[in-house]
Amino acid sequence: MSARNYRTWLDLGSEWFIRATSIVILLVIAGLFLQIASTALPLFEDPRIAPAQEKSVAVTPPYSFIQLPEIQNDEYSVTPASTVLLVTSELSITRIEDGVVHGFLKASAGSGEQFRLDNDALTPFSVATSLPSISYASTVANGRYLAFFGGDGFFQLGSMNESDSATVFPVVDIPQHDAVLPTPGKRSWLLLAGRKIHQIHLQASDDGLIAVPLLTYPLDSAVSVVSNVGLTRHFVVVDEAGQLSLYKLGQSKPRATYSAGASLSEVKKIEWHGPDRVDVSRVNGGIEHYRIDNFLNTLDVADLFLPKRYEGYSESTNTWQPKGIADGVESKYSLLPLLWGTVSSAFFALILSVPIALGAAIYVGYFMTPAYREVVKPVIEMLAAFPGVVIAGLAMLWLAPRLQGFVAELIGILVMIPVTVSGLALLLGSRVRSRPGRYFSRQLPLLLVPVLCGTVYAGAWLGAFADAHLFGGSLVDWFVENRGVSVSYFNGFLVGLALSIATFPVIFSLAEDAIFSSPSGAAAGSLALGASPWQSFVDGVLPYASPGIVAALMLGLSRAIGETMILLLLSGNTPLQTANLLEGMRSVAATLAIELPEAAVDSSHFRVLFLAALILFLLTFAINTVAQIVRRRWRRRYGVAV
Amino acid sequence: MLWLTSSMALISVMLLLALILLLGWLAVSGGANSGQAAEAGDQWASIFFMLQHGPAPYNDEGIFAAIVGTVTVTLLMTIIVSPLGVIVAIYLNVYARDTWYTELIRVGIHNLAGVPSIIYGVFGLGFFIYVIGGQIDQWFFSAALPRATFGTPGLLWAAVTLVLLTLPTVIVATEEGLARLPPSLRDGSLALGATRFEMTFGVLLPAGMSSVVTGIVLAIARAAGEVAPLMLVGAVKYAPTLPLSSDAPFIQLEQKFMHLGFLVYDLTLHAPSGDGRIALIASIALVLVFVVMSLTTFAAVLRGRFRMQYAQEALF
Repeated sequence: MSARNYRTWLDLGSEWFIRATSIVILLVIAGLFLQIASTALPLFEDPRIAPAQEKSVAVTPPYSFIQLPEIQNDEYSVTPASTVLLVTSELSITRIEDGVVHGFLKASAGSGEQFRLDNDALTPFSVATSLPSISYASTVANGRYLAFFGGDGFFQLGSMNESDSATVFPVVDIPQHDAVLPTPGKRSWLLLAGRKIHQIHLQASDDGLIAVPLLTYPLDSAVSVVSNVGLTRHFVVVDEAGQLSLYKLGQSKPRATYSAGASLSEVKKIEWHGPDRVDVSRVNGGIEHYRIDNFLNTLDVADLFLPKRYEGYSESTNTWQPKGIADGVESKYSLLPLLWGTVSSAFFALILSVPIALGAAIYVGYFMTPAYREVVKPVIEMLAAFPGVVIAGLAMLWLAPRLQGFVAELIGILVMIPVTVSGLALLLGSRVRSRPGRYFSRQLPLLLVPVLCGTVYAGAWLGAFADAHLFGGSLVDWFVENRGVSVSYFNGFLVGLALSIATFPVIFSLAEDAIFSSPSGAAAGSLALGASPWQSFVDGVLPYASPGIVAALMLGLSRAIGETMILLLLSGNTPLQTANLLEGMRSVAATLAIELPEAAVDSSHFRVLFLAALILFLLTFAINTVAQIVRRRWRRRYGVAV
Repeated sequence: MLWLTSSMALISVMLLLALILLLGWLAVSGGANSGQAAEAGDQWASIFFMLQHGPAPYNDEGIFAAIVGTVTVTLLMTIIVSPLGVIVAIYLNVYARDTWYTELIRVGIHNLAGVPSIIYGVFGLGFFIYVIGGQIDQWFFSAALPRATFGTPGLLWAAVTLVLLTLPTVIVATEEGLARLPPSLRDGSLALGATRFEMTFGVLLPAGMSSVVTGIVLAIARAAGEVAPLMLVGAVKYAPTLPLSSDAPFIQLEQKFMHLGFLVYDLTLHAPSGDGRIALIASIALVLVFVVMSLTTFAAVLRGRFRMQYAQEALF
């Protein structure tokens, strides 16, 4: 009795243990998706703006705001026709009088904390003869240029490369404005003009750097006060209707608004106070704090997937540049170049591997005798034993340095093989047909060994010959010169070659399974009725095997999409978006491997990378699911028990 | 067309041979010209420096640390993945009823085997390291904070990430083996009064043991070639100490480690061409390929035998 009890308990216990463990494991696996999604999706939450909890500071009038001259500040607003001072980060001071730059005073740290001003420097130069007024001046590009703004709508740059001369760029019209606001990095400025805020930026042209309108931020009612643009590239606007709006540089619509009504109508000043708070100071007393939540690491869908015109760019582009190349340069998070890199590399790989893999699968799965097949199939599948990193290493160390001199030969071989083989088949085909077809087909590969070796040699020779006589010694150089194609050392061709070796075994193995386990009755019947082996294959086997073959192709595609190491080493990791086979690319998977270890946790970069991972995951998962369903249906129909 | 397909089959065999020969040739000669052959020969001789105890191949100190790292992380993964995979397979095959959701789970598990390995790395970093590891640090290693102990890439998380990566392989292989066992085995043992536990562990599992082993071997083969996820969860180009030691826990689970596959990547990235290192890289790669190949072959033979065994029994 007790033994029975013990056995029952053991049985029950083990059952529950197994059930519980399995469910936990399955949950963890399901959690894989949820975790990635839950890290990525806060990216799209909306920011909020609201009065902060802490009490506002009441300041009793009378009081006044005093602007202290700050030596660290790069800009200094000036009034027309007076002595103008511009304090720059290099501690150089420019004196402008009546529209003419008179002095260029360099400050150097003398003894103690005192600054001494040396009156050496520039000869006076005229900013422009017809300048109505200069309302604002700023240094640009680390102090190499001086930019002058006029409220009536002009803009001029003066270069101060050398200490003794100054180049003055022509005057450019910009929108009329009441005030100018710099942005971090000083590649663009905000011009406040009533119910509009214009953003202008510098762009290279034939005349040198000129200012070009970048974006306009339309407002519901006229601007009252604008905060400074913080390092996070956001600014807060209070309009005359008393609405507080949070703007991000580069997005014309406000990301968050808060309507405070009349209480905000008389605002004197608004200033960032910490990364997520602004202080609003009212004319008639008091400073109020507003909290802005959840804007630092959030983005809009348009940032990720639509072309955008960035500062300093002449047109809208899709650019991946998550970390600015210099301070104050905006992060560019377009995922399209990465997705393009992934898809195009997979495409190159499949173009190369599909014909070979399918051809081999058809031959091994249908024409080869079982005895040979037992040996040949596992041997070909051994290609799967080459890890991606090994293929990549081989291609990088051995193939890449030789590729450019080798392209013509390679193309020659690739062209020659089908040409020769089908030519031979046409020549000898009639003889073959008179023999028992399937018997002959068994020995075909052995007969083809010398043919193929010869073809490879001939193809290489032909390629080299064409290279030397038609293309002046180097096919690649010829293309560069005559077709204007740009070529990089790591290119799509190299990636395609390496990636095709990685996808080959997947496609071959699954397609071969599909062909081999298709019912062969129809093919045997057609063969018996006198059709050629190939005809019987096409009519008798292919209809049954095609779903399995399609599934094999899809799984090959998903393998190519997910491969990391090959793209990491061979693609050059340049986020380009061209269809040029000879340039590099940057794939999603490689980007994850490079950037994720260095991305700060929960930063927008981190979340964008998780989003990229999520897209990759969903893409491959969808492809795999469709392929699985196709395979399962197919198996059930033909009762194959693999 | 027939000719074309047969030449494609031939090409693929030739491709395999060419790859192996190329690797072998590079391993021996370093891809060098004949003038440099003597120097390359030295490199070949120094292949045996793998057994030297030195952590840095960058200073020609040997790849011992990378071998230890690879073996440790793979062993750790095997120890974790084997029971888990078998348990899930048993659950799916013996305990779970055949309904639409078990079918869904099966399709899901099959699919996970095809999910890019880097995704597992991302998950390992985002969940195991930052969430679980960060929590462990707060509970048990708060004294060491802000320096992270488990909240940073390391051996344990690399092993656990590989477990997730290879779990589908083990589950699929084991379940397939269990499903192939003739129903008479189950019916017979239950009819003789065995409980389900006794049937499973006394009859089914021993009978299907070779498929369990097949699954585990395939898992090891898959794990041995993976580098991408490890880059995110703990493999480094240089670890000053081995993850194994003679002190109390004997294995430093939180430590970063060196890995052969990662070494191939890193050396490739930094090796100037023509350098003797090519021989080193090629020989490490050759070892990797050889290990994966022999594991795969072993698994294939085992699986073939298992199928044959029960195919014959089914006749009677």
